Amino acid sequence: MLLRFRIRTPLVCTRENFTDDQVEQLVRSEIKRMVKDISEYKRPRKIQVQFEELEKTSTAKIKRYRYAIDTRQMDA
Amino acid sequence: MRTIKQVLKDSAAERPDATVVRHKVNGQWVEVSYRQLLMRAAQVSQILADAGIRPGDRVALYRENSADWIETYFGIISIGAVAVPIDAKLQGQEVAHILTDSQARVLFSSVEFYRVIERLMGHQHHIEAIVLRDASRMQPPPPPHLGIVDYEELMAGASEKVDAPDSAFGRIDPEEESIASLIYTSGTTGRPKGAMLTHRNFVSNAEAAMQCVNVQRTDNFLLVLPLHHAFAFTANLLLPVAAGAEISLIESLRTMGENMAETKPTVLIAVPLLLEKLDARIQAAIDKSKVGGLLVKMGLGKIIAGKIIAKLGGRIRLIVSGAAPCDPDLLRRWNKMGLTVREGYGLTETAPVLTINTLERNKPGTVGIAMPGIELTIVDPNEQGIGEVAARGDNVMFGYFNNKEATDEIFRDGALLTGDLGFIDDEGFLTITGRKKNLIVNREGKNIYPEEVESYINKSPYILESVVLGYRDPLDKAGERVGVIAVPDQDAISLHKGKFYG
Repeated sequence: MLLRFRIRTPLVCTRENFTDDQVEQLVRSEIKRMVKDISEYKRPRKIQVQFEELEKTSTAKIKRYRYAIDTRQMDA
Repeated sequence: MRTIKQVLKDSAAERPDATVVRHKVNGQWVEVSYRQLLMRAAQVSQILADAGIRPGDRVALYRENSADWIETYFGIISIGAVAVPIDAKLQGQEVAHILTDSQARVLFSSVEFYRVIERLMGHQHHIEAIVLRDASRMQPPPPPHLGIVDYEELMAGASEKVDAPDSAFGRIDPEEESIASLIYTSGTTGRPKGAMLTHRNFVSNAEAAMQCVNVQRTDNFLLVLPLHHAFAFTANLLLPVAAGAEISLIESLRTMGENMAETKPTVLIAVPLLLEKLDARIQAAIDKSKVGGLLVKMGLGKIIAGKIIAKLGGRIRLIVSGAAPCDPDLLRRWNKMGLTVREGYGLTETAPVLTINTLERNKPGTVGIAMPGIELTIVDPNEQGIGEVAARGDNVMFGYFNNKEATDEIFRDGALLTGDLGFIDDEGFLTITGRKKNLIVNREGKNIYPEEVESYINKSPYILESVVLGYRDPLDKAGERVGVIAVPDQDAISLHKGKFYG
């Protein structure tokens, strides 16, 4: 069997725990990575990071009407 | 077509001593036979008729899944009254809205809900009597003006009357077109509306489902989902009752594994969230064992599946997922391991199943084919054939209670508009692409389905969930842009913390 080593690109972090800013940065870069392969027009222009779970109905569907994009925020 | 009452009576006549409900009482499994369920339902009917409840009157049922829930429901609908099942997780204002809107006259619940109920009675309502399990054990006793009575005391009082020839259960029958349930659905869009679902709606749906998944009287359905929800009601209660099969109630989500080992179910009715949790447990078990991982890689997943099936009680033959879209990768992976998992689709307003992947015809990623007797059309399709899914059939609701405007809005030419966008392929399989209301149309007029974009984003192990929304840029004259609100998976991030260091 062929042995392979996986090399991860390290994300530089100097503190023991992530700060909210660092988590936010990670989420933003993750979103950009995940939508790389879909058409450009479908990719989100604004990314908001929220730390609380999204509100759900009793069958665990997200209550979408409770949310709106804050248009004052900078583009992604 | 039969009424829900007739369905129960037929099964009780055919197999009176067979178990219909299995539930745990003080740590012991208790079995209720078809004959006993019929008798208890007749007692509930008697209590209601004696209290002056007439056909068409609404009776609220506000508590978690239990044997009581089931007998109370059958008792309500057997004299043509309308059951208003309320989600036990709802609180204050939401319950108050349902009680006021439905004008329910009697409320069935249990003492665990006393605090909420007590506060509700301060709102406007039509409740004349509140029947609580264990009310007689309350210390201090509830104030008399609330009209609280003990469930078992009333049941005992009614037990002699049900054998009399003029008992309410024997004397009064609902019609096919009688409304059986008023199910409040807000879905994802705001204020709850009461969908009026008739005996014909439910029975036609259960009978169609029986043809699609071949339910036998030897089946034992595990009940996990809340019965106030149309999916659990039809697929997990009415369907097994119609087949003369068994229903085993779990104690709680925490004890589900244990309860499966004890009751050995053959059918599991689930929502994707439940399957995802089970899947995570299975994956963790496979990852832990080096041999397990190797077997899966070698395509020998079935050996692992044997062990998993053993953990699920050893007899599971069918898992049905509904209520929300399930990850097709999970469906394929489970089917490959030899577990039969089928996804279906429907709405509260259609009692609820419209389509299902049957045992023989299965295409993961689609929600299956229309069930017998249900006609689906795609309204205003675009060049790719995607449009709004509309449905006709005996399962389509009568309308929303006291809400002509919302009723007129949801029907077009006699067909119910589902609000879902999708297309039907050459073989008749329906694929749902998103909710019509969620659709984003950009400046070039291109359609973006937020659900599709979310599915890509949610694949990141560091993102727990996301909601993709359209927004207007103040500088744009027309069209929307795409934005996202994402929630990080803090556990996954801290778990993998070490890997981020250089």
